[in-house]
Amino acid sequence: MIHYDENIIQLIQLYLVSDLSGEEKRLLETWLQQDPSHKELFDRVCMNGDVARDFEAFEKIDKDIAWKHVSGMGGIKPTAKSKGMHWYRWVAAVMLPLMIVAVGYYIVNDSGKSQRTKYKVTEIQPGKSKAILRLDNNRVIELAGEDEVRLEVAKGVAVKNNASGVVYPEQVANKGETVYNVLEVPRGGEYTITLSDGTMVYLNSGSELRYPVAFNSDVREVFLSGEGFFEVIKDTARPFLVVTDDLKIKVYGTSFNVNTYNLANIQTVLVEGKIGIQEKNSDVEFAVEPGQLALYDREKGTMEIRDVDVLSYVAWKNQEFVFDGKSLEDIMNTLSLWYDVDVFFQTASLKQLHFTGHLGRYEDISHILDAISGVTQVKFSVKGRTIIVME
Amino acid sequence: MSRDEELIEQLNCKYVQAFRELFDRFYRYLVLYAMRWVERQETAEDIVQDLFVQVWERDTCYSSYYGFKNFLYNSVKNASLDYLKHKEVEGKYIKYTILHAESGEEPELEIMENEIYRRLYQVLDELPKRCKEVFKYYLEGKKNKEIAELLQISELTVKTQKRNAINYIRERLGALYVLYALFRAGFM
Repeated sequence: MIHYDENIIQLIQLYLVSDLSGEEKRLLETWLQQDPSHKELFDRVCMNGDVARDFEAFEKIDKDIAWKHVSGMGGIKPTAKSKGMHWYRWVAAVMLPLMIVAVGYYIVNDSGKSQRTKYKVTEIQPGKSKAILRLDNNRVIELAGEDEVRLEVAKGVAVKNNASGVVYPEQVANKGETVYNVLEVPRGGEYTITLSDGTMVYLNSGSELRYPVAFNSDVREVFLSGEGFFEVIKDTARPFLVVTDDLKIKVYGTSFNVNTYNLANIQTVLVEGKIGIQEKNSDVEFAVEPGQLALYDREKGTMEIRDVDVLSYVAWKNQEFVFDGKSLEDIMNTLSLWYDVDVFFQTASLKQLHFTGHLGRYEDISHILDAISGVTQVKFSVKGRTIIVME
Repeated sequence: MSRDEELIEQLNCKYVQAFRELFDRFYRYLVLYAMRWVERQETAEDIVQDLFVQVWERDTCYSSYYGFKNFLYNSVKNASLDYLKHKEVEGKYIKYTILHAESGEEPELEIMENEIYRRLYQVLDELPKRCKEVFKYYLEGKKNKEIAELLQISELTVKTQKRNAINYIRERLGALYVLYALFRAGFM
């Protein structure tokens, strides 16, 4: 009997996309020498495929059109779900914990499917580029980011605003003359800002960033609430600090995501570079490495650092939602900010359902609602700008 | 019961959604697999579509997920070889392919090999668009700088996207352990 170790299978796959560490290479080599059948499998795999070429071909195969043919020939009626079918990934990865082990959910679904209706969501639109700029003198400017305009945001300082966001001119302020601006991104909005040192910040819906029009010569300090992705320009002479309600994040030239939406915790995820995090009134600094999440528990005041899939935390910036084993409650919170809707759980236990899946941020919200209701007993009812979640 | 086995049970009971999910999991890879012999994508797609129609229409009960996979790979291969045999053109190459394919294959190795690729492509396909573009160029052997120029993004972004892709792939492949544990149990 051939025995395959699951780890070895993964190593072979990683080998195919040329991403093995030295340690892993040695593991694989040892395994190959253990038994001639191992070598045989490995050689077959290497001989019979070419990942770059084959994946290109794989991608070109349209399974939705194929499904139409197959369901046509097999006499399967097209269902209301077929439109959002690329959503099927959701199905594959739905995890049903404790709460609803829907033994019969396919039966329920199978009979209920034909009369399933699309949610009326014409009023609900995905978010778009918009923000409000609050100046030092309390003047307010609405930014929509289309045609390029120049705006005076402080005495003698003009910023450029266009489709790629608002850009502050490069300059250094004299000591004691720091003038602040605040960029507010409403629910259903997103916005990009380039600060006076060249640092870029992507702000997500329902977020706010307060920052000096020009940083002074010894420190670069900004204040964040909500969620922002930072690409910080390296400047060893002037450390960059992100201050939130409870935390101070010290940056050493890097890109990372800070999320303070959750009332219970603050999530900081580092993509590259190095950051150190302190509680506001503490000197203890937690170092965070790339690929790690620093989870700060607001109530207990504790910090937990662990390795995560960074992609799912920063996907929003790349026009995607990636939910990786997220609870329905978290998912609905995210959607409520982006689509600017209110969510009400009629059945509280549904909050604990967990899902894994992708969604384009600019897609219609009905796709995701369809996908979820298609595989579980969850139903959604949309009334104006409120989504009711029920069983 | 695992999701995989659950799907098979539902397929046996003719649940459309289970059938669709299995179709989604296997269709594209099976077409690629058929193309090892028949070359033309159209022909390969016909073969695999016919097979799925058969799966739906016949009253076969599959004993396990592994058994079902075994059936799919075998059927596609046989149908592809049949197609070649019936084709009037019998070039040397075709003869060689048939001969080669029929000589003492080890089905376990063959399924394993295919599953390695199928799951890998499935995971690659899940990558967000930008990330996937970058990663595909990287697989083709392009340097960060070339990729940056091709996509008009910074080298830093290329690096970040590449690492994101790798992290994602690593994590998702890790999540597949269960699948293989089952696979083993399936034929031991």
